[in-house]
Amino acid sequence: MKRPWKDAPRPAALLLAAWLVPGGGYLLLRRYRQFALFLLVVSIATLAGVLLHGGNLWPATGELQGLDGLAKLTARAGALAKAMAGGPYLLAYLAGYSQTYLAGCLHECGTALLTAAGLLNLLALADAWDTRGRVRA
Amino acid sequence: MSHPAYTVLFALLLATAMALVGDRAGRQRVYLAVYWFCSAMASVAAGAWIMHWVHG
Repeated sequence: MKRPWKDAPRPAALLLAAWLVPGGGYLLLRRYRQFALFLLVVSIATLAGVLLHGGNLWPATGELQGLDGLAKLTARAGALAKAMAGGPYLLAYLAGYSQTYLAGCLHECGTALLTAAGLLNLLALADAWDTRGRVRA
Repeated sequence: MSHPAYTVLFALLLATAMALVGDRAGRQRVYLAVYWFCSAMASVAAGAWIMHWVHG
């Protein structure tokens, strides 16, 4: 049973930390095992996605030509999901990794892993937010 | 990476993440991780068979 915590982190700090560092929300909540494992999971997913040449760039207008509105929205939503991985996503971009949306369609296994990394980080963020609410109560 | 290896990796990542969320005892987390892993592998196997029957 976790003891009640008087100094819960500020919401903005929790959200920013949780996005930027996978599992960062847990780190601020002093749940170190969950932080370490989520960091590992999201980092492995991102690394595997990069090694499998998944697409990480925002879809360009020219790449979406001929698609209907829903398909364009889905493509952009996928790009947004990948960005939700936070630090690993940014590190890969800053290290020079860039694969276009169309290249990502070709290497869909890598793209799926990059998307999963973002969604798993979003899961960690949501759970850290929920946990913050529970320990404050 | 071969498709079976990719499937196992994906299932492992998903199972680990799903077991980590929430407030649970350690043993419960392990059971949940195993459950999610087996469910993911079963879903892929079922989907593969459905695709085989649909496409021939």
